[in-house]
Amino acid sequence: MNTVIVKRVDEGTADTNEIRDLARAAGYTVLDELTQTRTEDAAYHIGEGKVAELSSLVARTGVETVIFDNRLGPYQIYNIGREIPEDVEVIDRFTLILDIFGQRAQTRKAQLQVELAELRYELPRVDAKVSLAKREEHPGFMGLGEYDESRERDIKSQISRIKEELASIAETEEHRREERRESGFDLVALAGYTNAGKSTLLRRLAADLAVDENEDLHPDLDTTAESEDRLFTTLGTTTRRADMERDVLLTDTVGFISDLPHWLVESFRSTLDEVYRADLVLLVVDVSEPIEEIREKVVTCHDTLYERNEAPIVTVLNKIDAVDEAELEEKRAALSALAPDPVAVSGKEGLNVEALTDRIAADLPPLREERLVLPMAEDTMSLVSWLYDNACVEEVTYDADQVLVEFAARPSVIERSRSKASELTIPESA
Amino acid sequence: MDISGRHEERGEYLMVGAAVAASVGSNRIREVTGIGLATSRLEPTLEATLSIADEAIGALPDLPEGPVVAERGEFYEEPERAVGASFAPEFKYVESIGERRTIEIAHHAAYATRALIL
Repeated sequence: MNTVIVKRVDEGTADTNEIRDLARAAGYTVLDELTQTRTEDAAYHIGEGKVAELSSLVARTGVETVIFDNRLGPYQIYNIGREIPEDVEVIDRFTLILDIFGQRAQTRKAQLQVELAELRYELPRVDAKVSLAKREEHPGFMGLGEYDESRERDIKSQISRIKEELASIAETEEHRREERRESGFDLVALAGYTNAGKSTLLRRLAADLAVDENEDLHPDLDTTAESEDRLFTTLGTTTRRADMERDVLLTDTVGFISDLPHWLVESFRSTLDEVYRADLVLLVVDVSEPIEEIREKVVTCHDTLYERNEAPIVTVLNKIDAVDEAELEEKRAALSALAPDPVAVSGKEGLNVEALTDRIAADLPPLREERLVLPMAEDTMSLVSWLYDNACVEEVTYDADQVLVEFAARPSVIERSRSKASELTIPESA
Repeated sequence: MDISGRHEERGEYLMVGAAVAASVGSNRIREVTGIGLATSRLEPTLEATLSIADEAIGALPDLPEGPVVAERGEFYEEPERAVGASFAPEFKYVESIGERRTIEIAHHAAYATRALIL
């Protein structure tokens, strides 16, 4: 499908790199672009003269769509549609992102989240669309069916149904996170701007063996994370066990992108919960990009994490294979306020990954030391075995009538081990 | 830096500016070292908001070493360089989570002080 890109900025020069990448990610071929620096026009978003220019560009190139890297109101879409050749669809940045999400949504949860975002996008536009639909039929309205006064009611009830289903999925996931924590796992999430290299880094950090590939029990577990040079290749979450001494589960999740409206972030809340509820967040940054671009992207990530994130954040400067030492140092210095103590790695080449695993171990909540003296009972050895599975066992000493276990573990595991130890039944003396 | 009370009430304005000096990491406040407050009965023009901000910073126990940080809307989305000309320390708009959390404290301080005065 061929398209032309349009972008308006209030001041400065319009940068169309990201919207071109997004268009490509959605399967469009970008044939040309138009940019404009001016304040927003209420009727057309861009100036009337620019609309005429767009109309002749569309006619000349024969594209089927026009993609705006801006947020367009329904009347603006309608007005632009009337000025350009018939049957050419006008799409704004958010419709395009939803289109990508829709194409990538594999799981029930991802599909529900996309549907919810589409409905939230649609809801405030219904009134306008009803009045426009009465005037004449026009493409570019997301094809959500015919408009009449009952549409708003339908959307609201669909939103409420989806929210209920997502809440139940979120509850299951929260329960799973708790179970994993109780099993002694620390949860580390990879967050960052889209295409920062999170999935490649996950594969680099992960042990060869997935935690558990029983899809019925763990639909979020996958044997490989998606990893290619495209935006939003990861939409759901992928969880893998880290290849390090401490029991750590790594979760890769959807990338962030700038100017996302609140309703869109909210729609993906249960996916982002994997980041918000982690014990540690690795904020992955593509260090091969220009400094200003990196800064803007890191600020976007901080914006997205700000309201709900509680975990410590470690900034990871990824793709160091693409920069030399001097450039890396210059960027490290420029980002010192936003990322005071980053770890520089290359997920692709495996450079400095050990320093990152050391840093993960250092920044996770500390394990507590514990020493249990267990009577030699029927279930003692199964408790010792359970400790090997759920804690870092340092030493086990056996004598005739007791076992001494010294280990380090999360506080919740220590609580459970004490409770299990108190339940051991001492055999009666012969 | 945060300013509370840009609206008119009973024909009057009462703006309260709060400057919170803190050392921050990227997503944590390490230490709050001081709070400075200032009030103004002027209309909330750009000039008046810059002036009250400057006064609140001046009321801090020590002049901060780092930049003055505010939300984008605080000074009517004016460019950083234009706003920065009004302050002795460097000025920038908020970027990191640590800076946002500090502004949140300033917001609570300005809002609570205004409520006390009223």
